[in-house]
Amino acid sequence: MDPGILLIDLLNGLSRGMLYFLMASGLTITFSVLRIINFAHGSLIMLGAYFAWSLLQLMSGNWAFVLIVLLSGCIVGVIGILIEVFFVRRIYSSEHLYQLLLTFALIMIIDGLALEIWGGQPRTMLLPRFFLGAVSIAGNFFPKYSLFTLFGSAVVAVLLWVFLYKTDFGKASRAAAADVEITSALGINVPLIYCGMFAIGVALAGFSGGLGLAMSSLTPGVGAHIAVTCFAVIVIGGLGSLTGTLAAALILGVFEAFGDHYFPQIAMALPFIIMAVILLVRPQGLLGRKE
Amino acid sequence: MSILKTEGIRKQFAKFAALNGISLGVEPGEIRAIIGPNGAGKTTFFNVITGKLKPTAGAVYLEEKDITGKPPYEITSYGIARTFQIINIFQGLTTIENIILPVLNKYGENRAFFSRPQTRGDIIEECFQVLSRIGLEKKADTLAANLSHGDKKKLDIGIGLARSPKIFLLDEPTAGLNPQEKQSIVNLIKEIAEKENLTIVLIEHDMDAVFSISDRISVFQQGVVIAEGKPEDVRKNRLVIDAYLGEDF
Amino acid sequence: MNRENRKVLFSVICVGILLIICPVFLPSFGLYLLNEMIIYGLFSYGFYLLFSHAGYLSFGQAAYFALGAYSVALMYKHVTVTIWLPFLTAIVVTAIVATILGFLSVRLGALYFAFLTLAFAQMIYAIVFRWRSFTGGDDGIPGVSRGIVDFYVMKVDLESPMHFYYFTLVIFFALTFVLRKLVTSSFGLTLRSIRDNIERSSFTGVNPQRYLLIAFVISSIYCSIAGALHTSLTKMAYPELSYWSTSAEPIIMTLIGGIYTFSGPFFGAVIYIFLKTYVMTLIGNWVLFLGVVLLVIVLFFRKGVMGFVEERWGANL
Repeated sequence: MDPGILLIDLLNGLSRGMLYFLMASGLTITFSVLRIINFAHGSLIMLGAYFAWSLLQLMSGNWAFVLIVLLSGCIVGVIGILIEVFFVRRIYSSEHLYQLLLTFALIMIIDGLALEIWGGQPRTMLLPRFFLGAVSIAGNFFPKYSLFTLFGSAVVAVLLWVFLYKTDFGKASRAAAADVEITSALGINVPLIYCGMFAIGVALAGFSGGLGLAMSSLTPGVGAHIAVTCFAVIVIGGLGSLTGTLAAALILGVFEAFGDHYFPQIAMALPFIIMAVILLVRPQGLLGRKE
Repeated sequence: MSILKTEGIRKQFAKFAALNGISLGVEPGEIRAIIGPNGAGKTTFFNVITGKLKPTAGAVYLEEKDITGKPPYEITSYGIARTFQIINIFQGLTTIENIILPVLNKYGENRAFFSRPQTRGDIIEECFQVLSRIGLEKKADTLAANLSHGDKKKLDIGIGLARSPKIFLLDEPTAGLNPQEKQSIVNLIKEIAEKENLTIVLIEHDMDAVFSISDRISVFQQGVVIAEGKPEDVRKNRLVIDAYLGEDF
Repeated sequence: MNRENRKVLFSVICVGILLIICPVFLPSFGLYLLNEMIIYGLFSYGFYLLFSHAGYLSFGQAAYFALGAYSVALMYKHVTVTIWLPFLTAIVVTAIVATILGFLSVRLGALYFAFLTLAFAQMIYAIVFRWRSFTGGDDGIPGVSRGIVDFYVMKVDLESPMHFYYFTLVIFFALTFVLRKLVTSSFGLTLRSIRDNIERSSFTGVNPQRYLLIAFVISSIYCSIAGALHTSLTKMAYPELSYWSTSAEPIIMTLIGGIYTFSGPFFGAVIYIFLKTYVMTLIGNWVLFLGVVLLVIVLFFRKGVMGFVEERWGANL
């Protein structure tokens, strides 16, 4: 077996994994701070991709591309604020079923709107010249864009870490995730934290959508598939653990890259097989805490 | 033969040792009170006996039978009933439905797929007997969530009683009640102890109640029993006075 | 029997009679639609037992819907067109799979249970999708027969829409009747006690996992029979039957109809399919419409349509 090919597979896996991390991180944040599983997460990722696509029709150029990815995240983040204020806020004290169903309704509304605005035909993205082509690694070719995704996601991950551990808002949100009553009693504005963190989780979804748009074609139904993969990632990593999400995302990415190459039959079921195994053997996930 | 015996029960939660070797024995028909400051491990002790928690070490025996670490449903079927510090009833069901369930279980009828409990006259009659013991027969069809706090506490007791247990563990049965309600519960406990010849172990902070009905008292502090004996002896015990009772008793 | 119960019984009989005589004056498309409503009603009842009574939300009942569909489709194609064996196969296969998966799943708390049912359904979707040689892959199995009911003294070919409708109706009546009995029985009360307070139920001597497993298997069998009927009605089987979006349909239908009302699942299915058909033709964007409807129900009409009616009538529907 050619070690060069193995290396390419590995890098492929890591690049995929980092994108998965970016996609799933928002879901983990929403769950750990707000205790809500946002089923609409996949649709928000899709929305980010659609915004990126639309913006690309207006602008072009290498730096514009980076800007577009950032912008699509921000736009989706703003939508997240609106969603939190008008809908999610109302169901914090409701039974879990209704929280779930609310986010489910949002899936359909977002997918439906996407269908209205962008139509049903698959959209693909034309990358700017800088990102096209491949680099040579150990005698084999590795797509430039995958490298960009790998490093871009890593940068965002580091920024996220800095935000959560070094800024006041981040620290306050971690406090709220640990114990919301005490945090509130300390005078911290919990509703603001909830809104902010929901928006950030959603913005991350938007970024990852913009970033991931180049990887496959885009239709209004793609959100469901992405969502389910994200659930697998957060369950495998451990609900509420961001490090767990990172580990799970990378592991899944690498397994899938190798799986696609050598065992294509099970590649499709792989995330769910691992998810099921984890739930049966260690339900709290790789790095989650036992409740 | 003790009806309930524990030997060296320890329970460790990470760095915190909640129970540090509890060995005690309760005689059949006895009313034993467990008292002590908060955090002494009293409820943890109940949780270990009833299978809600597994002990880190030690054993629990019911009538000489080892029941250590068995799941709650099994322990209940062996004849241990309990109430809870925070009311733990079926709030979404009616009062009588709360009582029907343990009675069904007693007769092994939970799996009756096609028989409606209301049609089982014998079971309903038994439920009403339990309800009248606890004074809730007029509220049989009230949703449990709509009962007053005192009535909910009684229902909690009723659920345990309905299963005709051999031994009944009561966790702070008078907590949060006004003096009238407290007296009512205390009378109820006295009555069921006498009539059913039931063994009762109760955790209580209300010392009047404790001293009026207990046969013996065990005093917990920081996970160990620091004193045990008849009420009049315990109230004079220096250790107990310093740890918990204070001079007034 | 008191006044309210008499009102309810009367309504049930009316609806029953309506369902029996409907086919006579319905156009063929209407009959097809009604047939679909009944089948989805059955699917929703499967979900209803597990959720509204046992309290456990499953995102994977579509797996059993698909198992039933494929069992019957494959048996019709390779073994026999007489309904007995294929349906029996569907039930047995489902019972085995549901017992195994259910046993593994009910040990977990409600949230992880939901995730595990989702994972299993997606795995079954992937297996069905990939196993082309057996299941036809993403092409599915076309041209599924409607089956033949063989009573030895006579054979009834279900190819005719009218015959198939009555076949479905009989099964639906029977299974709904059985469910009603289950739900009002001691078993049903035990399930509701587990839903209400799982800890306390174990302290009444009940082993919650055992009852959850029984409810799960029964629920799965109902979903499976619905799937078997569905594949015969539509004359096809395809992998999407196991996708989680299929699992969502009975959840939404039951919610629309009334999640804690016995008649909820059926009327929910009726309303949902009615809306889906006519919205599709009039407005087109069904997904958006459904999302808005669901949003409105979650925020303002949690009890669903029949729950609302129940409140007005003061009866138990």
